Amino acid sequence: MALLAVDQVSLRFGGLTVLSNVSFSIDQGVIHSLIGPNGAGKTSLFNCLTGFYRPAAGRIVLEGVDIGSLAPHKITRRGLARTFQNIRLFGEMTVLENVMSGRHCRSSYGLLAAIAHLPGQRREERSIVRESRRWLKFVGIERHQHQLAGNLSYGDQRRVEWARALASEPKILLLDEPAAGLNQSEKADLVALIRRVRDEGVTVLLIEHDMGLVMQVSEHVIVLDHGQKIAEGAPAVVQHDPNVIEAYLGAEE
Amino acid sequence: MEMAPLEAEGASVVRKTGPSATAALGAVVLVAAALVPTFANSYIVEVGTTALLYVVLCLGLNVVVGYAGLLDLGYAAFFAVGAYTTGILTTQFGVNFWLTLPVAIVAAAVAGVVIGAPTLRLRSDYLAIVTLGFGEIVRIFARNLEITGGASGLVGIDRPRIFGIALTKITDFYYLFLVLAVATVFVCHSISRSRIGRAWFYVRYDEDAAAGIGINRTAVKLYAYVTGAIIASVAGVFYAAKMTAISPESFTFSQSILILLGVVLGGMGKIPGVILGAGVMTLIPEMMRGAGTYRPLVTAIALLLLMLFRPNGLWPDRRV
Repeated sequence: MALLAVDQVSLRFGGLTVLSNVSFSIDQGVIHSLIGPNGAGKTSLFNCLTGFYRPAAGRIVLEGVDIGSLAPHKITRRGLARTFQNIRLFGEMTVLENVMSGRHCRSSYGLLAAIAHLPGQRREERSIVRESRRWLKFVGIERHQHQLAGNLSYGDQRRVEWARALASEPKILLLDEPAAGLNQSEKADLVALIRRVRDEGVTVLLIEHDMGLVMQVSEHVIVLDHGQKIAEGAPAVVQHDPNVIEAYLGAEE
Repeated sequence: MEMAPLEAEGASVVRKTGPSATAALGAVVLVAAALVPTFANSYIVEVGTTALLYVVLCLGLNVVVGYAGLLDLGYAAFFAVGAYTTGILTTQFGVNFWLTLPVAIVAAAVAGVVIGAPTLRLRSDYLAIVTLGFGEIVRIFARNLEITGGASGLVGIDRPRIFGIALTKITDFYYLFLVLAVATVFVCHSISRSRIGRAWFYVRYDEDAAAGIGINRTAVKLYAYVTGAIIASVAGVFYAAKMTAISPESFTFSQSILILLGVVLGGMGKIPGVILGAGVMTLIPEMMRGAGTYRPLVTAIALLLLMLFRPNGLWPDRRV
């Protein structure tokens, strides 16, 4: 069974159809890419998957549960975490505090426990810090943990976003244009990082415009154009699909 | 700018701008405050008691406005809920003062959920209007119901007894409010460093990013709103006991604004700042007594100057 099944999903804003009858599935442990020209509906699809938009029709099924109508925080709790196209960190908090936000949905003590400083509360708080540090180390920016997130370089801010998403223990990590604004050496690091995430047992779905990176890292590619899926398959196959070539380069007369 | 490493795992990671210096300053202020009644006259002790009451109220509103970023314009309503709960139960049902405390806490929590649950889904501006309306509704109810004593209010509220000794002197109440203020500081400090406190900061900074990372924004805001409501209600309980008489005029819109002023003046989201704000806000009008009829004008000018030169408050939080 697929880990995530997107089944006939449509999204409309007033009269504008953003997604129409999009279906695909995501398999455990496979690195997937979602590509398509600007305005194809890629980020809108991410917003549907993560509960920010509610599809007009269709089902989004994560491990047998329809998450299409759940609130964003419930979807995160069920194991879907994301990064944003334009980085959205809590800029005036430290890097560690940012990553600790990812542990919120994996911890449970409440107000009274916080006031009473019960042993269980302290234990949970220590585990929040420990797990957050572990993910900071994983993405390689543990040395910056006490700096304000807003003061970090662009590339490092992206890593904080990764650590924050990973700290929520996702089954699927959705990355919205992770290579945007990175130089060549940072892109090489990114490929390695994506593979290490996969090796941790997290399934990856990324939106990316850098075709070199997509062809290099993905094992399965889904192509959207004008809100419709026009092709799907192994990178080498999709690359030579006439529909895909047409979408990117225009049709031959 | 590399910051000092944490002293221990799980220690405060939210505040690290000289926590030991702030704690030392806090201890000095506390000792000084505890010594005030030993040398000051009863007028100063009276003003000090009022200042401590506002410290509690401002700290409570700070949870709502400063931590969670929710604009509440009817905070005095929860202050009224506490005061009237104690007033009604002691004068009309003969209930022991201390038993009214848990009732007031429950009443405030219920009122907080009833008002907060439907409105906290809205953006902040709408919340401000709803809370403004709630504040007025509570005051008008208190003014017109029989059980609340109407416009003249309730008199003869029971004085609390501790170990059989009734608290009557102003000095007794000064210490009672000092204990209450210290307890409120402890509660606010503990919560602000907990996962709920951090969630307030996340939601205040970027609501969508917070939701995307697994935080239930409505629930988190409701926690803040109810926490603030309970603190105001507890303050109201002890206020009723100190005054022995309460009337609707103590819980007006301008009371809500005065409390909000203390929070904004001191520095939203920062406990020492809010304490300072509450103190300044109580003391400025007292110090201006010499100005006679010009007092409101001079007070307003003083506040305008403060806002002009310290727009983020006297002692602001680093995260504005």
